[in-house]
Amino acid sequence: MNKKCAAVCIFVLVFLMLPMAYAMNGRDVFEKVQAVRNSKLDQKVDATMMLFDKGGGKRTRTLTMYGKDASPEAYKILIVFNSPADLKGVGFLLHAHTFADRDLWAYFPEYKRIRRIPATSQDDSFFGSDFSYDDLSGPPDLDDYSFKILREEEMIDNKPCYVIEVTPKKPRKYTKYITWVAKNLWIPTKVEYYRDKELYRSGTFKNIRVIDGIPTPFEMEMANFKTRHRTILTIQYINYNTKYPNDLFTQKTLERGAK
Amino acid sequence: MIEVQNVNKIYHQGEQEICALRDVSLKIEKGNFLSIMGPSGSGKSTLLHLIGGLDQPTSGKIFVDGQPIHGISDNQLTLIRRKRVGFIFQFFNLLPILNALENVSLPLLLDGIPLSRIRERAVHLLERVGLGSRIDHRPEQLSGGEMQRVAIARALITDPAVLLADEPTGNLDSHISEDILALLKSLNQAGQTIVMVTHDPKAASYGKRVIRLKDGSITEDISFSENVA
Amino acid sequence: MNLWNLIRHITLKHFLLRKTQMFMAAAGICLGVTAIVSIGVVNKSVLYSFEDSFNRVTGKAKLQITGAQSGFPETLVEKVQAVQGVEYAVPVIETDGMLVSGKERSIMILGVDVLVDTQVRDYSLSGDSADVPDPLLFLAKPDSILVTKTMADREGFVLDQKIQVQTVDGIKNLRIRGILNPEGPAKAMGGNMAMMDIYAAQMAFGKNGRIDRIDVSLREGEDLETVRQAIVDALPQGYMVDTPAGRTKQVEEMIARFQKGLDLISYLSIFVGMYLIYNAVSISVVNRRKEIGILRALGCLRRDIILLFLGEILIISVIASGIGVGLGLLAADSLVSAFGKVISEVYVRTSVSGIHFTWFYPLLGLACGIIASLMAAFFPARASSFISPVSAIRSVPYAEEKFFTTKRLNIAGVLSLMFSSVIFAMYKFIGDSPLTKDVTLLIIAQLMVAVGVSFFTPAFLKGFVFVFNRFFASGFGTAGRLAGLSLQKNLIRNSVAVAAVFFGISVFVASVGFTHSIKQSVVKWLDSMIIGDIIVTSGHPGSSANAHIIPMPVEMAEQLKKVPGVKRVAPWRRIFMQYNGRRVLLSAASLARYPGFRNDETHQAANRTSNQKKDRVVVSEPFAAIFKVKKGDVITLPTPAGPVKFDVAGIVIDYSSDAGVIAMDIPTYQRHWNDMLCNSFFLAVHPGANVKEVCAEIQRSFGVERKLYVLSSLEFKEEIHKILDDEFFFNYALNTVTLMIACLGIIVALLASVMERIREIGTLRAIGTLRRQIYGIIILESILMGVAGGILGSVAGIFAGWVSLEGFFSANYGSAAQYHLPWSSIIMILCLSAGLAALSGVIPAQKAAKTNIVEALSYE
Repeated sequence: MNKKCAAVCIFVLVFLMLPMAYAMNGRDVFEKVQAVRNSKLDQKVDATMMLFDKGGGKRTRTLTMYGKDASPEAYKILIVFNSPADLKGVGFLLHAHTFADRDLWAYFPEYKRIRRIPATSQDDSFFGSDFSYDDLSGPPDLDDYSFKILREEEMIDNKPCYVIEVTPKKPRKYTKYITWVAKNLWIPTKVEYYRDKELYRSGTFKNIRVIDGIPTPFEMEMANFKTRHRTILTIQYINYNTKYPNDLFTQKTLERGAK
Repeated sequence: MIEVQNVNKIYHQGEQEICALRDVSLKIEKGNFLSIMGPSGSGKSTLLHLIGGLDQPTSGKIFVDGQPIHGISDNQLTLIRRKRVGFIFQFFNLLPILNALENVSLPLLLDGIPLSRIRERAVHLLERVGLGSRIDHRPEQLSGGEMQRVAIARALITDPAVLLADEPTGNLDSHISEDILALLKSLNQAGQTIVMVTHDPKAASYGKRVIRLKDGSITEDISFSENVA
Repeated sequence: MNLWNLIRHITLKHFLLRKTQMFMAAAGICLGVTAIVSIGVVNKSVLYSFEDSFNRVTGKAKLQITGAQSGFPETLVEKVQAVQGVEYAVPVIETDGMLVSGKERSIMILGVDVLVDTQVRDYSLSGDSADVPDPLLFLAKPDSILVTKTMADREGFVLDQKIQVQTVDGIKNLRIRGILNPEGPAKAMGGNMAMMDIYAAQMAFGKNGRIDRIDVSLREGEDLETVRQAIVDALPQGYMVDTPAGRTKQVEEMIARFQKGLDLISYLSIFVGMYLIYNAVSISVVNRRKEIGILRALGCLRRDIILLFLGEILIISVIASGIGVGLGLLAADSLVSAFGKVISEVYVRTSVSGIHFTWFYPLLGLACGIIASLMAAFFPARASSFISPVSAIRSVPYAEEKFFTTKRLNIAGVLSLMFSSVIFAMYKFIGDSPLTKDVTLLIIAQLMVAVGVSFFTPAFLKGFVFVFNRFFASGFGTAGRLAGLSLQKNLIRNSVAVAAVFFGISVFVASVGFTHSIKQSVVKWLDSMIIGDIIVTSGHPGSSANAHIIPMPVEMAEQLKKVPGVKRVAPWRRIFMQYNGRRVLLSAASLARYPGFRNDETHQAANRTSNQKKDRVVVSEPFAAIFKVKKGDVITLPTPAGPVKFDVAGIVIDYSSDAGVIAMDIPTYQRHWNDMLCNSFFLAVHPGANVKEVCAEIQRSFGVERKLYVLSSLEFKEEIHKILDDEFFFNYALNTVTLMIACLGIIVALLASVMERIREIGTLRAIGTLRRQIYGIIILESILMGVAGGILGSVAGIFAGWVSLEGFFSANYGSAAQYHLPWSSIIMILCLSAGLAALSGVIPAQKAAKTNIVEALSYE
């Protein structure tokens, strides 16, 4: 799940924290993480995505992401690319009916056509980046996973962490994740993705600032060890107090490029 | 001992019937050297072929060592040829593709004995016929007399009950013929029964007994065992 | 083991001493095995490659939905997706593109919905299976294309390069956004494919809103047949819902007919090889009569004599078949891509990169070679065991075996011919019965004809020699008279040699006649189909006969008409469609092309308006045979708008697809199929207009926006004939094999027949024949036998070829072809036979002429 929180950066105010509980178990830790993530469903983010291929080639694109807490359903997300010119207007819309059931669509202006992305692609690459669709979505359903604390007090970025092994209950692309959750902040600072024994992907979440009381990593890096490809997502601007109307998250808006 | 009883042999040539042998009866003692004489077409070769099991009589009986060789299957007859009879022919009838040693060994090879086990005996026989130095030679590298010696060695290798010779000197010049006949005589003296077809009275004189055939019947039967030196 | 002794001490020596003869006999079997193995392996490899490509492109799909070649609306995807039990229904475009640069190769374009497709097919655009630097760009830009690494390497393509591809809308500029590694679908077609996003493919190939296929995966635990039926019910009529295996099978059946013809010839060649062995053993028996006599005299059993010969043949055949297998594999390796090309052009796109090795065909070849040799050797070997030791060792001159009297042979000949006639009659008149479905019986009947005729060889030779002696012999002087006499006196023995010559030649003439007739019929038909003065197609004429062409919009006709000199423009559309579960060709042009339908178009138009009659189609003979359709029947064809009834106005000859052809007028087609594309235009020019100039003008006006082939009808016909030659390449290759076997047969038979008479020649020399005369006699005799065998063989071959055409071709293809005498081949084989005969006479003649008279007379 960390894996998920990794993503688009969003963050929540922390219950600045009672230094609690050495008696916490893995699930308890993730309940906290989930609370932080839920707190940042409403958001607008301007970000830069930089892709580095193994030959050292670099591509930059900018995007805007809108999020909304959609209770009684789960949440809605709209992402629109702003640059480069070839990708301007390409969009991505997500309706999470529950935390486990989502509809995804993509829009390509040159075809003027909205296309559905099957829900089973959740672990596939988000349009060639090293993030998956899931990484850029909202929080998952914790019941789909089991958790186990491996160690505590490990320091990442001078922050003490819980090191937790997360195992999906249903077969997924990655068979397990190792997540470093920063104590007191309740956000992951590092996630390693394994397929069987093999380390496949690794994400790190740096430059954590507290925005509107929510700890938010401003720089997220995802590296794929298999393809030696790397993606860095940097937040330029973030606002958590958005409360967008439902109209923003429709296929029509997607076709208009969120205008 | 060979016994021929009332044998007739009739050939069919087109519509024509040719009576090669008429009611021939004959006894050949063990250790004898019989010469069969007669003009061309008198049936002497036919008689030899019947004794040797190369052919079957039209009627009558033939026994070799008491064993009938008339009215038996081709396979039985063939086995008798292989084991009981040795042949020598006018034209030698060696296999041109085999060398002297192999030609001599052939009857035993046909019996399924490997060459390695025959070799010693074959070499011994070739030495006995005076060809100890020619064992690797092929027929085309041998003279007529030498070829006939090889043929004799081949005939002897099965230790046959009888050695049948069909004009053995018919294709050889006279002094070589004498050598061959002397060889046959010495074999006979060592106990080998021999039946030889010839039209040469001189050759016949090497034997102990002479019969004469004419038009398929025996006209004369002379034994001169007492003058053998 | 006395057999082992015999083989070791006699057989092996013979091998060393009689190299030529053994070699010749072995070569026959070797070639036969080569033919069987190479044909078998090539067939298998092509099928394997097709299946492999097919499976790669199919992926995990359990069902595939296809319609007519013109495509169907993509909205059907949702209908299918909604069917209970369907997990994913993904749209697929499978079409052809042509690279404008380089070798102008036609490539398969697979258009898939890349966002969904990974659920069904095994690849991913972000993982190891492809190098797509920017998948988002790939998806966002309609000019994106992914090429395989194989193709990139071959054509020198790099990432981000612009390439030009010929499409329906003319030449399109596409950009390579990624390279597919050779795995999954990218390995299909030997890498000769490119992948596009389905919507990009629709745009580039003018298939807006249309797709070619839907691939369906099933939810777990769903019953395939139930879901299939549910899908069938959910769709309009005319769609095929098939398992991938079912589709492969259809294609296999289609190719099978082509391959059967090749199989037939390859088995014929082994039969000829058998005859060679039979001959070689017969000759060997005659030559070694004396040896056999000696062995028998020394006590060799009959059984052992038979085993001796069989053992020899076993050794030879094992070696020869082994070499044949090796040669067959080599040949297969070098032929497989050519064969694949033919299959691609004629039937279905495939790309074979190498042979697919299985043990089956090598083992089959070995078994056929060995068993055939042993069977062939058995009769002469058995006959040899009856050689009388007495006559053999007495060097009695060759005595003719009494058993084979001319009378008995004639009776046997009549019986075999009667037997085969009964079979032929069955094929001709009974028609559809389980017995006649298979061609095996027919092949047997054909061989019986050959065997039967060979029984008449002595009688024929007798007559032949009689005619020679009567009319020609004196022309050759003494040699002529003596040669004639000698042939007459050794009738049976010479008949064996003549029969060998006959047999090889008859098989050759039969197979050439068969091939030639089909080709001529097709050529005549094609020529009658090509009307007008100029043909405009967007693909090489080679592919224009078939599906791999990028069609053109039919509006082009109007523009073409504007080109100065053009009088009339007739479009021609050809698509494949499904009819009652089979893939048939729909050919839409003008029915007036078929004999008996002249001016039918106007006549029919009049009819339609006045009587509201149904539209008319004609169907080809195979179609009529397969679907049991008669003139005047009504057939229902699935059109995009639903089933439509058509009158069958006639049964016509149309060889363009052996699966069956439905032809109709192009306006009819356009009305019902709503497809405004066509594969080619036939142009008539005004009298006096210069065809060459008009062609050039068309190129000038249209050459920029699309790649066109503009050919005069003469050039076009030439191209088509070239392609036909390619198609018949394998038949020719096999004909060459049978020719070679026939030649070997001639040489072996004649060489041996003269060699065994050296003694007789010695006698001739002794009584004063000149060396020159000996030469004359022997060579003349040899030539006479060659010619006799040649004439008899040609006659039997013509008959057998005609029968194959009537029986085999009709039974298999359901269409008639007229027999065309392969004159040139017959004359060639007759000359070749005479020439080879003369040649086979030279060596023995030389040997005979040099023979020391005394030696020849004295030593056996």
